[in-house]
Amino acid sequence: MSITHYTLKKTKNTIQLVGRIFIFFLNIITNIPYKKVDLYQIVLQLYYIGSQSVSIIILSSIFVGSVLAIQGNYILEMFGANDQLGQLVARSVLRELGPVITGLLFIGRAGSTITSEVGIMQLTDQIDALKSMRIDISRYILFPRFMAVFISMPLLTMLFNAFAIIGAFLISTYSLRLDSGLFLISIKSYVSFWDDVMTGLFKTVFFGIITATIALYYGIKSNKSSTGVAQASTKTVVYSSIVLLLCDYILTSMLMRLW
Amino acid sequence: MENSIIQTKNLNIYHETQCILRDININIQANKTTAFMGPSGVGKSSLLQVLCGQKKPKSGQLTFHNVNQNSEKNLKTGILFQNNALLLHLTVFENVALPIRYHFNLPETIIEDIVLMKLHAVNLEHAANLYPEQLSGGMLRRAAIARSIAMDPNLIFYDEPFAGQDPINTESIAKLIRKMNQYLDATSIIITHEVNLTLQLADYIYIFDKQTIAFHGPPHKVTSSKNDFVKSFLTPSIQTQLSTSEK
Repeated sequence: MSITHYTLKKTKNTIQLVGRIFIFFLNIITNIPYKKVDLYQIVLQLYYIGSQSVSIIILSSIFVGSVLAIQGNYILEMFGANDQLGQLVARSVLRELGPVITGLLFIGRAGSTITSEVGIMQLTDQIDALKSMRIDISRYILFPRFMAVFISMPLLTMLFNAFAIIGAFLISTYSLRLDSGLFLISIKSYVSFWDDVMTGLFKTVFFGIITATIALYYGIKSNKSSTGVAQASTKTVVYSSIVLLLCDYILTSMLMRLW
Repeated sequence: MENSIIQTKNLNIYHETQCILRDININIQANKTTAFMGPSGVGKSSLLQVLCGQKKPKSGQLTFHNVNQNSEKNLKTGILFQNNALLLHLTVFENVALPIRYHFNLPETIIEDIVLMKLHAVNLEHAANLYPEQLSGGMLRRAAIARSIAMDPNLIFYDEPFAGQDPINTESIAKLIRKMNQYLDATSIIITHEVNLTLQLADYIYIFDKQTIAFHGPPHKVTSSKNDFVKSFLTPSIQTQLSTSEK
């Protein structure tokens, strides 16, 4: 098989896969639940998916903020601009690092969990059992998990942003011995709510859709075997991360008016 | 047949390109217990999947109670899965309550009464608040039976109900199936390898071999079958039955 033929075949398969995932996404969002049993599932999944990711997000954000403060201070010191450290940290976190790192952490923590859970439900005939009871899988299994990811992603990003800035503030004040007032003033003076905070949160809407759709797709399509579930989880983490970073590039380019 | 609830005509079942069952003609009689028997991998579970709408046949005709298979009639169907298929994040009570809560807008007190009644029928009221992972094999099977009868079905599919059970549990599950058929006046389809119990439990037996039906008829006629496979399939069990009765 020639390289051209192989590339064409791979491209065709990828386009078909993207099409199937998009149709799957449309199927989820058009089957909005209306029964109490389904709505309760959303609350339950918000707890499992969102609340249980809080600790990992807070812990990671403090370390990211701290490292950013140290590295930022090292560079700004060369130009004698240490007083701008607050602005540097806040803008980096709010515009880029917060949404992207939260997204990647969330894929590893919740995306793989969703795929494994749904895959195991397939493996152990739980999905077939639900179908046999005429319970709508889209409404009972898929939509609640999709909504839980969709709602959790921006909230967890806000949490990440807040704790990363707090971490940077503590490091700059107590470790780097910089003026805490200057750190806060530079944030207050230069950080814009709409241009910095909201653009970052805007991205998380897309990141949530990507993570939830890919995780659920590979979960429901996983082979009925333990290796099938493991492979599905791996695919979720790999493909979600790549698509999230690609989406981040596209959105950033659009928001920065480069296109 | 007039009293048949499911009828198939020249049904062909394939798994991808491999033929599993060929030209299957069966008649499931209403309010009777029909057993599908045969060695592992012969296609019994695939046939059950086709009958309960989980799998599509490659060709042939499937008539379900004189209406299309994917009709509202499916609501009155209960399935006992081979591996129970209880929802692991729900308690036994919630598992049984799920189809009732989903399909009927009933007050919680009435749902509670119905669920406890079903759990009482399988002698599992004490385990209502336990999760599937906390139950023994026999209790899991009884919980799955309770869920399969939650909607008072008139057609119940049992996929290997005795698999992996000890002799005491096997006997109690057989009694339970008998009781369910009696109280619900239901039609039952059982897939099993358990010859002795099936001969006592079933009203009609289908034995499958090499992609087709090797025997069908009432249990008392199975011993007189001249088919070599049927003889070899039944012989160990019948010998065991004879030696037990001699003792």
